[in-house]
Amino acid sequence: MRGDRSSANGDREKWFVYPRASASYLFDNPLPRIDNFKLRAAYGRTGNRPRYADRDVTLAASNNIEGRTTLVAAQVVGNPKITPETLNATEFGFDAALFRQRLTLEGTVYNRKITDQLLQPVVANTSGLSNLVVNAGELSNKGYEASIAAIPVQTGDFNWNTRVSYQSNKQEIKGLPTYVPPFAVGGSFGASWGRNYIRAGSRTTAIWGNAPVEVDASGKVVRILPKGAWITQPNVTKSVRDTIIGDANPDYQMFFTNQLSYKRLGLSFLVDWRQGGDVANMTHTLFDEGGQSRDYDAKSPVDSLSQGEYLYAAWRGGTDARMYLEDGSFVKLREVSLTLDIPARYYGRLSGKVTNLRLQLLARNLATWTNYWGLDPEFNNFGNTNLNRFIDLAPYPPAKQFYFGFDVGF
Amino acid sequence: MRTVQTLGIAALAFGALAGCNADRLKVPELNNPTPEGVASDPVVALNLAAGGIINRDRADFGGQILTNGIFGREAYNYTPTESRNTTGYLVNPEDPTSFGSGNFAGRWQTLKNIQNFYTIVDAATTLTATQKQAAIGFAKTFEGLTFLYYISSRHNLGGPVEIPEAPTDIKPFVTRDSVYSVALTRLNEGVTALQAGGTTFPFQLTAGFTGFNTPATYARFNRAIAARLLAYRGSLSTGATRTQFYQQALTALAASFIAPGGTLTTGVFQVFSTAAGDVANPINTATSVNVLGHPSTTVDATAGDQRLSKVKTIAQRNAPGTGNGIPTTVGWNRYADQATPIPIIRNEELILLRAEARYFTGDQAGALTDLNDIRTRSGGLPALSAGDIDTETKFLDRLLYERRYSLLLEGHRWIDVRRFGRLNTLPLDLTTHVRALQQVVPLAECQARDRTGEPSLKGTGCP
Repeated sequence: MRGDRSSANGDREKWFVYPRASASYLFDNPLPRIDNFKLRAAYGRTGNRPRYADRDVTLAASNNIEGRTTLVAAQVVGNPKITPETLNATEFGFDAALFRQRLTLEGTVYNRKITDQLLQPVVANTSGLSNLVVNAGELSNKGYEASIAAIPVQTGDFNWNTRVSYQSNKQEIKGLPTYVPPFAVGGSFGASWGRNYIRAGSRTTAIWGNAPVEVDASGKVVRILPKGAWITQPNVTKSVRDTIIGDANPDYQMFFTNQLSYKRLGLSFLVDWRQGGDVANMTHTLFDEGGQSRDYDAKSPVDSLSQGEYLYAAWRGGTDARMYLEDGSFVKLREVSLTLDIPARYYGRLSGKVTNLRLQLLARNLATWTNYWGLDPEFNNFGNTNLNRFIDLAPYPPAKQFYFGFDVGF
Repeated sequence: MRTVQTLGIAALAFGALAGCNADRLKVPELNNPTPEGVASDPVVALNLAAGGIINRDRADFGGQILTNGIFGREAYNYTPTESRNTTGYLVNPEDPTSFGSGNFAGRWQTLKNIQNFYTIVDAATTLTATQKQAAIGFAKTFEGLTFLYYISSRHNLGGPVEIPEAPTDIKPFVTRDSVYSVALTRLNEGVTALQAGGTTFPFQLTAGFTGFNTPATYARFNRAIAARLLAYRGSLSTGATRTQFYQQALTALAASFIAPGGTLTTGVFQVFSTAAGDVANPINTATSVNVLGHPSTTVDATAGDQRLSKVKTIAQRNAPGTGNGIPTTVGWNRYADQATPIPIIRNEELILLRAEARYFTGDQAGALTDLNDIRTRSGGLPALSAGDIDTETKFLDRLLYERRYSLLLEGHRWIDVRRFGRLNTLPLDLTTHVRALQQVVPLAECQARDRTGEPSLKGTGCP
């Protein structure tokens, strides 16, 4: 139980209370071959304070002019009623161990809901301002995680540990008031390559971007045209609309961890599999613009154009963002490690002083299996951000890393 | 039992904390100016706010000049790593998320600053009534100028004509002509206020206003803007209305700083600087290396035109046939370095406005005199004879030529060819290129209007 007051809140006298609780129950040997089974549940509430000045800013200093500072309207307008946003998290799960710990299972379902979100929605530009600071709507994250760990082989000399985990998450925004228009969060390159929107009833990971549409004589949208329509459908009356063109959120992700050991030799490797999740490949756009893509001259759906010419022309200055939106599914051999424990008889002059000696060979990013055009579908130009995490803009290639190490115990 | 005890202790702890920390949480706003601070010293605040209006206008000015230059095929911005600097204007200007939909929000921010400025003037008990009139005249002029900039960019789409007090209160779009009317009304209110404004402003203007920094001289700048607005409206009208607007333009010109035969560069400028915290000229030759001249600039010029000194020959940029490149060997001299000012309006334009207004009010001889004043002094070209302008088409050919080269990269050609129905004289360099009639309303504005669910608030031309 925790209570907070803050000078950043609109009401500085008010206490905001954040309780937490968790409980679990363990069944010991409930059935034959089941060693134990645990049910768990947790609930917690936390708060996130408004930023300093969120409550009362209305004016701002702007650029100097001839050495004098200037006074302008603050583009983000403070809100004297601002309160913290609240995260309510509920989680249920179980852990089970079977066959004398040879097989363990875990499962978790969670629901994290942020209410009274601290948002800075845009206002109409014609109001002369950019953003409000409000508490509005709720953001929910629902998902589940499951894992199985097993020891399929366990003999005197040879052991094999394996673990597979799976996760899936859905994020949604609800209950935004009418004065909050859909707004794109910062850190994107706009509708030309797609961006995430804070928008009622829409997933925040949905990618909104430009697509050509067919319009009738009055300008009404008849239908969204298929990818490439700027080139493939020259005789249709077209316009541009900002619409959902993909989703940056993977359908699911799985992680495979394996550890094998034979006598003194150990091998472990980690494989990641991401299924789905679109990536906006700006790198590809730039290569096509310069005519330098490796597959620029490949065949395209249009006879008169090469693939590079077709993609770039159909993208048309960013009016069909789907041309460079690519599936970011991949399987990665993320890490491999080989270890060898040196037997004590080779310690030589060090024996007696050294209790163990182990050599290790470690490699990262050894291999990626993907249909993605670029170097790495996991790269994001804006770094480790919550939203807009799907933008590939000319990254350095992920380095293959090799390490040789030794552990000495005294 | 235990739970109840815990809660009891917690409640006590809260009480104790609340008791000792009540005052420490009264943290004032320290990073930004506050309305309380402004109210305590309105004279200082007014000086800062006047700077804020000029500064906010300046923030969009270079971009607007370049945008108009690109649409008018005077210049273009070829950035190898950001093709949309070219395509957003020349390929998909109808896209409300393209760069071509810019120059929107900043204009309304200027108007918001002007609204705040009036509030400060209103509340300033230490200012005399005369000083208040001078301050209002200054701001009204900028208000009219800002609406004129806005409607020049959005043209047939029209726009709202007032800034709401509450940012969520959205004002409806009105027609193009109504926006022009409001702009003119603000300029006229400005002159009235300036005339009652005494001999000095109660704040400081920039060096760009040298010669125009008293209420009386600043009023001449106001009339120069009014003359431009009235000439625009004249060219967009027909028959008796056209003549009427041009008559009013002549009246405004007479009260402006027009000086036939005088220095052509006299006028009002936005100044730039490389000093810390200040803003540099965004389209200068020294650092804006991707701002290039349109190849037609040198091709279309009459041999010997001195005004071609505004451009220079550079090594060819953009090989033909790749990407978005328009091959060009034309670079700029117009704004030499980061501190070169950009004119808001100057004598050379006023003389050309008078040539136009005189012609369309039946004074062909007067029009010829003004045209030749510019042609011979600015262009170094032989004078025209009456026969060169004896039809409207011939006159417009001559006028638009002089305006194009006299006001090169000052934001005029696109607006000029549009208002005389000659948009199709602009060249198309690639098959994908189009000629924009106007800049579209940005998507964010359209969405904010859609969200109200009120059809009367919808933005014109919004998807």
